[in-house]
Amino acid sequence: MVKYLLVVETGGVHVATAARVLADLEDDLGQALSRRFDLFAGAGFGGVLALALASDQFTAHGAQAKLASKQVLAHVFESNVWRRTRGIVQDAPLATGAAKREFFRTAFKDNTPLSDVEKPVVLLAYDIAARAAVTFSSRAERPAFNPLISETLDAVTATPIYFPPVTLTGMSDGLQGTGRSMPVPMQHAFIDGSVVSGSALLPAVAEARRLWPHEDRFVAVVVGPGRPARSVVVLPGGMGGPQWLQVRTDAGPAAGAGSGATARR
Amino acid sequence: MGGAGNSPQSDLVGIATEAGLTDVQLRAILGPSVDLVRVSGINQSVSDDFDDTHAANIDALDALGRAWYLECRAALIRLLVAQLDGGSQLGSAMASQAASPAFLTPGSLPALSPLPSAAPVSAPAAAPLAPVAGAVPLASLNVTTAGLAAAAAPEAPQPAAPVAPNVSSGGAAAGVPAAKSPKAAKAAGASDAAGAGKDRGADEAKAKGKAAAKASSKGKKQDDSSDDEEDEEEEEEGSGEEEEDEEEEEDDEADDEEDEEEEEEEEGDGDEEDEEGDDEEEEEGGEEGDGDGDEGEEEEDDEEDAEEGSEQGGNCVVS
Repeated sequence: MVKYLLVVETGGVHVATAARVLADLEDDLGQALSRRFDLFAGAGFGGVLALALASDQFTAHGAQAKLASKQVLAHVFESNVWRRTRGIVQDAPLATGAAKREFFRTAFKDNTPLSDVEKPVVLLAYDIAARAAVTFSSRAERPAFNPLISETLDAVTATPIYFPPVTLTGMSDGLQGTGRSMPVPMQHAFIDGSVVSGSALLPAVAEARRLWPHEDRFVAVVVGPGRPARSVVVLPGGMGGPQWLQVRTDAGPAAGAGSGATARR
Repeated sequence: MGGAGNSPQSDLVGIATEAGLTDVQLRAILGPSVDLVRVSGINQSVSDDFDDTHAANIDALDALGRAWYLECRAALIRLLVAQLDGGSQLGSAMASQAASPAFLTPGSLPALSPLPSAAPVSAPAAAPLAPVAGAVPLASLNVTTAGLAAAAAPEAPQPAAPVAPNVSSGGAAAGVPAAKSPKAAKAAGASDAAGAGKDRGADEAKAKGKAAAKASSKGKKQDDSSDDEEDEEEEEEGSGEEEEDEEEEEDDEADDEEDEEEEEEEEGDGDEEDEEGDDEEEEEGGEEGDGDGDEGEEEEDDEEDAEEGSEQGGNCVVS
């Protein structure tokens, strides 16, 4: 029996393109994508679509209208002149992230922890404390973190430059090499996993093989913006942290004004 | 970025590189049991000047998604439906069609059932997809469509499966017809556009109106092109489209309402229009430009896109 995986790549507002592709696919299949696919995965704002479909709270059309529309994206990426000005020198992210956080709370049934999501879902993030890419999985065996849907999405969409990191509270796994016999509370800060990889294909396949070890056939549909194409121009001033992040996240001119490096085609 | 981008091999490279792997290593990890369809390319299609935060540009991204879906539609359907248990709403008829070599020819996809929320269907079967509501023409927004240029490029005979030599093609190739060539993709996409046009939601139903009537005649033309003498007919189509372009230019001057209608049509048929534009630019050095007042840089970008596109083979990768 074939298992179907849907991977939505990162892309910020470019997720609007993926949302359209998925809505059209849903039309063709005549069936909600949450029923068609067995596992969902995503990075960055692609993770929002992935989790929306996996949770069965949205059809692809619903997700497009309520999570990736022009109005919604403009709201989520809210900013103002003052923050933009500060963003130029990277004294602060371009947005506070408050609108994004509140939006996820209201758009989803917020009392649902990630582990209760209808279908398996894998979301890529970067753990600043652990200095490592991590995945939030709804089917993890002993998850150190089991945040609510809205918290999860807030964390995986915390794109550097645009949004601040998101701190989550979890329990350390005291049984794995820590020498402790009991798990202990811990707080880690997370950012968008696309600083490591824009595609969650590999985590998706790995999770699928773990969940269905006896399946011999998987079909993976990957939807997303592809590799960043804007060329990188390094100015004589060099590249500090903000400039590096700008390149890594392929932030456009809106985020790049005044930076030492600009991403150009 | 140059030639790296959305070509079948480099597309896998795109995923692999970020994981510190080569495409061969990635394919090895995935193994023969994983079939992959990737619909991507937005970052290849967005120019430097594209302001992600500009609301109108989000409409353009939406329209671009429609164009890419059409490009990849046949491959997606083949993988998601053809191997199903027959329990889908598309039914066993589609599954059996998908198993035949004619699956990817124009008009071979059956008409689709509307979703429960969709408006009643009255458009002819050949009607193309309705334009995305509120979208502005791609040409005016610093958005280029590299992959579409590839689909439109004149073709040398191509191998059946668009995968890199060292990339195993997984199980899909065994169970279903060979993967489509860009030409087949284009043809299927154009034809598919007709079928899917029936099934768009109520929000797009209004937009169909006049455009659908016009498009139905275009759709017939596309159906006509499905017989054996494809090449000849494509040439004829090409010249026909050029004539249409000239007519459109005249209309622009003569009639504002016509102008609006054509804009809608352009959005719906962005596929064709962009292809024509890219072709002409390749041949004539971009005489037409993009009409956005930023011609110099845009032309450069488009030429690059056209070059990349012809190397890359589109925004849809099947592996």
